[in-house]
Amino acid sequence: MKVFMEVIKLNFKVMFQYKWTFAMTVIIQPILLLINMSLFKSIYAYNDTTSIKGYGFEQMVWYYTAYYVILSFVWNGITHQISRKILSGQLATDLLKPISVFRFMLAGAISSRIVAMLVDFLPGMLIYSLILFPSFMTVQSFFSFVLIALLAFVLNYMFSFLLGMSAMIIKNNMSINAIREVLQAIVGGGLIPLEFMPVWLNRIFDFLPFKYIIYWPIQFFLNRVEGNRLEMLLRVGFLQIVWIIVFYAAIQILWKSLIKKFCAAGG
Amino acid sequence: MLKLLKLIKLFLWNCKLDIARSMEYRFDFILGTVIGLAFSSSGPILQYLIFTQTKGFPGWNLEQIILFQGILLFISGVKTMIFGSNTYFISDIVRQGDFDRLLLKPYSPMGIILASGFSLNNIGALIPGAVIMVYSIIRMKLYIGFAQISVFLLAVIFGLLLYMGFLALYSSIVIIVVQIGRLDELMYQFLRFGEYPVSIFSKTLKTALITFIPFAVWVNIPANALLNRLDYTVPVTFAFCVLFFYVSLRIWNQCLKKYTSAGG
Repeated sequence: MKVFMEVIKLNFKVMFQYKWTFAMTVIIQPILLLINMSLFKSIYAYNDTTSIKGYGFEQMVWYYTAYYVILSFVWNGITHQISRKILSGQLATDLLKPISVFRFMLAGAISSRIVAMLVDFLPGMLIYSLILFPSFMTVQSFFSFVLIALLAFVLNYMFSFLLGMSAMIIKNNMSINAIREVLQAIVGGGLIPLEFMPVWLNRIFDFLPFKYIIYWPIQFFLNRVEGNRLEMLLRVGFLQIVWIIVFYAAIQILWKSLIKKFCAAGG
Repeated sequence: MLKLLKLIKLFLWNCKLDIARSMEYRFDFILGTVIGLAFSSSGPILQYLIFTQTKGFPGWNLEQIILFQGILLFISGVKTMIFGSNTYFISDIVRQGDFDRLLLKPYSPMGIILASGFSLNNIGALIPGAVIMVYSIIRMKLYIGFAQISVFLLAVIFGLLLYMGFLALYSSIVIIVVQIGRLDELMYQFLRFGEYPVSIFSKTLKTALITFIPFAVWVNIPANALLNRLDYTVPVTFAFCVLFFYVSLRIWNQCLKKYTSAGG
């Protein structure tokens, strides 16, 4: 645990050097917010309605901002990083460290999200709220969101690590990573609220992990959870944990078999 | 004129190299094209879904908006195929210190940068865009005469000029700040104002989009040309595209004077 904490501290110092790259979201996001405000103001006025698919104007505009807010919690570059380590031969050195590759990269992902919280999430929330105040949000909904977003971070890390392990077979997994990003945007609800998709398609999406990384945290953020909030929180949290266990087990099994066949290259 | 011809020749050489490279890694090319199409289609899919489940935007019906999306995909395909690698190219050579070598070449630095952007992978958006466009024209039984084709082609040319202006501005920032992550993302998000019908924006923003930041040239003018509903603002927008490109080049030249080497 001590080594793990030290790696987090060390990575935090490194990541903080790239604070302006993280903070770029704070400049990019208001542009998108303004585009979406114009777009949906026009649509809501033209349709003469206050709600589309159950989303009020503020919730609809914030949906797209929330997607970026979620990313500041859950994003990691693990899939591609594993591939880079294999191509450069760095993985062979990492295997000699007094901490497992899985835990070492987890520490890196945690550090990067702490920096993202400080320079992206916190100032971002302040700036976006000044542009369009999220009146739908309550203290309760915010903390429910944070809890679900933290579980989404762990889930996304497991998923990314599992996909990253594909590099042990195909070396360069950039295309796999790109496909995941597209799926995350469409199936996870990053592109458009999933309510706009057909019901049968949504039922299929229920059996995939993407919804629990993007869509559900957004729903808690927007305070759009219907029925008993606590029950829903437990239900979504439970399903996230199930996915985490499934991915973790798959990582452990596959890692043991793949690492035996691993042959270091590059350097 | 001779300089321009030389740059076109350089651009064609870069195209040949990129095509040869893409054919060498065919699987990667096919996969990259499909992924590129998926990324480019995200905006049109979003608008289509909104449109089919609501009454849509003022001034546009479903068939017209499909044509709009077809043109958007087509123009995005043209832009990213010709200039797709530019942002990566300039960032990379400045950071590595190779920009210094580029200054010694017998072409204008900006000319070389603009001639180095060809990326065959981005053809993925162009072909379906063209198919949707032709399908919409046939379905709506639109009359396409000489005037419509001329305005459409002029809009594409002036649109490319405007895009080159943005790339010049981007390059100007890069040679001054050397490395700042996600600057390209910032530029692309800003350019998204051009992906929607100008009728959805406020009066001030609408005016800005046909004058000072003439994004209307990319999709709005070509779509209105094919729909036979052009107005007096078209030549104004074209003129502002030229002005934008000219001002961007002036800024580039000023920044170039202040450039100090990096990398190595």
